[in-house]
Amino acid sequence: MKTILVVDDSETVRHQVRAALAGKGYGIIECVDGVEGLDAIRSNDDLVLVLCDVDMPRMNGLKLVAEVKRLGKPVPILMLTTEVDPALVRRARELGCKGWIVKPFKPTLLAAAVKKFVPTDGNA
Amino acid sequence: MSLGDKFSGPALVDNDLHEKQIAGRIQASVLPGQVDVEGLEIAAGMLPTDMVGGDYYDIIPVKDGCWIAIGDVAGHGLGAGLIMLMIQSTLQGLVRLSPHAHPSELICALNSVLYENIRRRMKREEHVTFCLVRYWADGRIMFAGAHEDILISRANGQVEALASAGTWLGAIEDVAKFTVDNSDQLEPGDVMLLYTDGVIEARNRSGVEFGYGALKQVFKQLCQDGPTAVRNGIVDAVRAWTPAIDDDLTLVAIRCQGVYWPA
Repeated sequence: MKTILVVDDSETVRHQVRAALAGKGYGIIECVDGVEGLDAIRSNDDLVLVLCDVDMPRMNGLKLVAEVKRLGKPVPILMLTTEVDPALVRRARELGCKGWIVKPFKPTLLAAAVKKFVPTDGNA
Repeated sequence: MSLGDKFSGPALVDNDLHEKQIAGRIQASVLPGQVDVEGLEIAAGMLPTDMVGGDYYDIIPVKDGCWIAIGDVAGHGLGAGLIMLMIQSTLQGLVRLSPHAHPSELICALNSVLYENIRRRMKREEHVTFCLVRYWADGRIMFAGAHEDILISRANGQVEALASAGTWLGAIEDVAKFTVDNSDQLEPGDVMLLYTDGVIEARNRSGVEFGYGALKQVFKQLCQDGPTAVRNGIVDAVRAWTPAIDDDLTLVAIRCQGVYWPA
């Protein structure tokens, strides 16, 4: 099963992501901040995608992305956030993020975005 | 009767109720229903004042985004509705043939078809204001045509107006030298609004138009609530302003919910 990491300090959002991707052939791992998220990325080489908030305690999302880039991990990262500051969006792109999705999101939109980067072998 | 006579008589155009009802149903059936475009949340609609409207809009998804079109045929009723159907069919074909073209290229081809049909074959005088937008999944937009300004509400609360430079379609044989592409960028959270003049030219009992300023204000107030709220709220505001809507009214509200940067 293809495993997706969700890094968000909001339990509600993590639940919404799980619900949006339920039954589409993905396994989900959850982390509550950037520090946990970075540990999970370091220890899971089979991650196919990271969905990452921006504003989180201990380590924010963009810092996490920078660390992942420094480690040379090839996993694609989509930011999933309420932030809409164009400077932050540009920074994410410069760091190698694959996209920026604004919360609250429609489940169908999130599922389509995930499918764009992680095809589901036709079982979605 | 020659083929050219079929749509040439004004009596037929304006007086046949049954044909108007049929044309109205055909027109409504070719408007886009629920359209899924990656990264976009879309709410659109057209309120025709006659059984057949002269307004037009379409959203045509393509692999890396979509095409968004809006237009207004001068006048309304069956004649305007027929031209609207020509625009719809022609553009659908052009986009399928050339999904990676620039908007100006498709507009010039569309104009050729409209000029041939309206001026040469139908011997009529209608023209069309029209704007065509190409949206890419990374948020870029490119647009061309001559229509009402495109409004974009930005994350900082400012509403920007993008003017489309061009000329009417169907009026002259070649519009290439008047038709230029302009580009801009939608950021996550931005809301874009396209509309026809039925919105801003709706008059109250004193004859005062609803106006661009009021539209901008209502748009700005409603953006936070999403495109459906924008569309419905503007229609409500126009209905509250005018005792009777006397021109077709079309709105296309789009929120950029996400942008993607594949390698």
